[in-house]
Amino acid sequence: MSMNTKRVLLVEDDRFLRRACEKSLQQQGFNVSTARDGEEALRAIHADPPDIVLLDLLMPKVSGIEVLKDIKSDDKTRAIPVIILTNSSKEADIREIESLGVSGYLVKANLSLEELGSQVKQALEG
Amino acid sequence: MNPINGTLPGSYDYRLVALSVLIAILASYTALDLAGRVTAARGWARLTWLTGGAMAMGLGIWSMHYIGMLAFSLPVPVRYFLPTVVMSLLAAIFASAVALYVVSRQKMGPLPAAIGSIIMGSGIAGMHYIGMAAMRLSAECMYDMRLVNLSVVLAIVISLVALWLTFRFREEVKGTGWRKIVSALVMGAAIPVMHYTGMAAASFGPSGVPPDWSHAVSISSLGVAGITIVTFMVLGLAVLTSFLDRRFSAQTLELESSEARYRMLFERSLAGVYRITLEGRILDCNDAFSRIFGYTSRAEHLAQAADGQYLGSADREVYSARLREQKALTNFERCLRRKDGDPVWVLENATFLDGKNGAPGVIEGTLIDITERKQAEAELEKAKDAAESASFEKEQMLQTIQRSETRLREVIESINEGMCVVGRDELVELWNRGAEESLRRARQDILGHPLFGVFPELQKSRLPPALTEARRSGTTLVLEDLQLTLEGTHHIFLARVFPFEGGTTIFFNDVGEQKRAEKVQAATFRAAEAANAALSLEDLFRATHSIVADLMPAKNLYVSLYNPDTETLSFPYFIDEHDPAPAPRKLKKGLTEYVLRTGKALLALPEVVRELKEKGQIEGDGTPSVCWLGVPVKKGEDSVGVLAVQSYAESVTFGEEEQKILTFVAAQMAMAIERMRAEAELKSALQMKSDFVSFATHQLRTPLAGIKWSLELAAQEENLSEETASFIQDGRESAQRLIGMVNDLLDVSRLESGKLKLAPKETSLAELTQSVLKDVSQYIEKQGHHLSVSGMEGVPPVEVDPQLFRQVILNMVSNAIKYTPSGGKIDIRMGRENSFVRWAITDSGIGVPKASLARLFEKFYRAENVYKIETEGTGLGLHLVKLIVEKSGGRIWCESEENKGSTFQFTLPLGGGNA
Repeated sequence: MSMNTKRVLLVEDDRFLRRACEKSLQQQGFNVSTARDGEEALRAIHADPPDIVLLDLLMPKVSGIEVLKDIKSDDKTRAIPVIILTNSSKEADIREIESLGVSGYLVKANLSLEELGSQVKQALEG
Repeated sequence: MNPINGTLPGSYDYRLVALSVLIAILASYTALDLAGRVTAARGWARLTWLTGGAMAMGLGIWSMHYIGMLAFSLPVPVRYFLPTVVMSLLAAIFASAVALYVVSRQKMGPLPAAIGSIIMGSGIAGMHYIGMAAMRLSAECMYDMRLVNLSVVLAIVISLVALWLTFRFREEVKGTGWRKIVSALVMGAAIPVMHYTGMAAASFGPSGVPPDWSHAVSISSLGVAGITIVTFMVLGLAVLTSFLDRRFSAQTLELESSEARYRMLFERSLAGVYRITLEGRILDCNDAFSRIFGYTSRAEHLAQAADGQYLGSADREVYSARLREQKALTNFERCLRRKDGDPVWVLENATFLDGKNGAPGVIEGTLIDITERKQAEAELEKAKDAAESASFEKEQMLQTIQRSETRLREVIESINEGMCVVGRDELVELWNRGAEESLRRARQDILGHPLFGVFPELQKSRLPPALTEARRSGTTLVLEDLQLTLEGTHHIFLARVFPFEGGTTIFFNDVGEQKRAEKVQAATFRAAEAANAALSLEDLFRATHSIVADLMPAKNLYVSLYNPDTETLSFPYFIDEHDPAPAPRKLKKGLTEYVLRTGKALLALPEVVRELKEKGQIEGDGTPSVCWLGVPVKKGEDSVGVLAVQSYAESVTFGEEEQKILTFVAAQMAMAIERMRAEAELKSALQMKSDFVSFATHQLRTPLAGIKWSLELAAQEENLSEETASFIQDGRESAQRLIGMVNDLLDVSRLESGKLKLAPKETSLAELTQSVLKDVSQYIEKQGHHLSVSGMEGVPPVEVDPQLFRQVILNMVSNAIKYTPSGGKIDIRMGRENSFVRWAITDSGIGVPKASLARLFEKFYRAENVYKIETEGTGLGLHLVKLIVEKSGGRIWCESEENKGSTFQFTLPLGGGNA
């Protein structure tokens, strides 16, 4: 299966980051769709489950953790790999997220877009 | 020659007959007397006495015969043939010897008596007829044989009687006994009877034959006298000798008998009699002596007693010495040992007899057992001693009592504790100096008076019921805080009540002065502690109440706090036996408000309250208390509240002391309130800070990520001019540095708050160093530094968080590169040292000024000279490094000399040590 067919759902409330990230992943050959908050994310996931979810944590309306819990509580979506893409380093959050099971926990400021692409590839392969 | 049938007429001269009888008696007496002597004598003496006696006696008998013959006169001249006369004398002596021998024997049986008497009789008869045969006269002697036989029988019978009498009376000790005289008379009569019977048997007829006159003598009257005198002399001499000898013998006998008596006394005496050598060997003793020493008899004693036992006593030396010196001891008392070892006391008299001819001396003595007497004496002595010692002890005891009484008085006067003795009549008997001082009453005002009568303060106190109770129960009673106000000062006494037979002793201990000080100290310390430890106001108030209650009656205590913003007075703590906690209120005219307003403590006794009311300072509020004490709780100069205690009981009052304590407690409370307020502020500030850091990092990172990513995308654009591309690159670097700073800030914050947990695992410092050097190699080359690394092979792995330690090493290597002028030297060394691993980096850089060394690892601190190199930098790097090293259980430090270089090194314990 070619990476080109892989559909990535990018959940990010910051429009500059969303734009840069979407552009880069597209350049790297992914089929990227975006959501601006948790609500949108959940709708998109249930409407058409993606191959992978890149999930921000601090978002309006529904937080990233709520979204993650939802994904993991639904049999249809549970298998979808999730990479947490955040700037927060709250220990409590990290522990809860790890207990739910994610494919990665990446700090946006410390991450280059190139690195992000390879992490997504890795998660899809793994 | 005369016709044969013719008889010559014979006649007797009766004077001579009497003389012959007298001689016979004398001879008999002599015989008797001598028999005794012969018997008494032994050996040669006996033979001498026997011989002499026989001669004297024989002579006597013989002379009696011739006197008798002379008494018979015939008409013809009669002469005597001398040899025959001598023979007759010998016959008489022989007969006498036999007689004496027989009677002198110890025993005289019938046979010896018969034989002796026959021999003696025959001898006498022989002597008579031999004597007759010696006659030379011109006449013929004819014998009537019947009469001759009769005379012989008479001689024998008379001899027997004589022997018997002699034997019988020889023992007569006295010189002349009447028995001896009687028997001498009998014998003396009997011998002439035999003689004259023999004479009667002879008759003389005339004869023509002329007598043979050769060797014949005539016995003239002169001859008679001579014979008589000689006989008397011999007999007298014999008797005299015998008498003298008997006297001498009698003395001997007397001596002998006294010896016997002595022996008898010796043996029968109840006193012990002994004879011993000076060395103590017993030569002889009596039964009594032996019995005294526990032996059943003398024989047993002599057989068994060891030599020297008798003298075996402590007194022996005295006894022997005195005996040697004085030869005698009288009423000497000493203690000896019985056979069984028991002591026996004796009273003795003893004499020391010097030995003759070099023989050892002998001690003779008597003794009596005075053990019982001694025991009685000892008992008496003991009793006397006991009595004496008893009286001595009594005397001593009295002295001791007097001394101890004096001492007791002194002690009672010297103690600071008040001591009071109340008699049964309730009158005070003792009031010591301590009582005078602590209870403020001179003894002359108290002694002899009823205690409560002259001491109303005491009467109002808790003492009277305690006294009653102590007397009722008979046990000691302790009043721990007897509150008394004396001369306007409040005191707390520890009173101990001791009831005794004659009254009650009460001790007053002013604990307000002594122990109270300690108690106050302890309590104030506790107050300070409680103020520091209290987590909430509620805690603080409760702790404060408990402390205050230890120091004073504080059943009723409250705290009110004033809020100037709302101008309300609240009562966050209010314990009262009468009133409920008042609701928060606007200020009015209560005592609390008065203290708050004046900022001064108030001891509100009823008269004070009255006065304040009159002045209009206060108005009645709540149940009126007997005593109210309030102190302000101050923050700086401002009163922020009031701490108050109050009492509704007459017996409980407060004073200066309580005011001091309460003031102190209130100050502690104010501090605690202030501290709690500050702590709450700090807490919220810290929370805010923490929240801010998290928030800020997140909020900063998001736009930074936007910049970073946007520039990343921009850099990928084709057809960029070289200049544009380099601007984009600058932007990316700046963004990266900013992100680094934010990350550092976040790490420091999280390490400091403990939010960041280290994840230690086995890590190789060599690998970490290599990885870091790879990342910075370009930079090193660019600066032209000479780098050397050593010790990488031998360094053992350590238990650390690898990500964080990578940061540590990166930070230190970066610093070395940054602060060393181009072409410098950088030297990295690592290795094991004992139980540590050391990692060090030395550069030839600008170094750290001395003044900066100490603060180098502080947060946000930057050394004074770094600005020469660059102006950027947060001052977080080394602080973060230090935090990480120390949280990993290691140490980090720097040695440096300005302008020469620095060495930064850290050590880590082997085998973990993640602190």
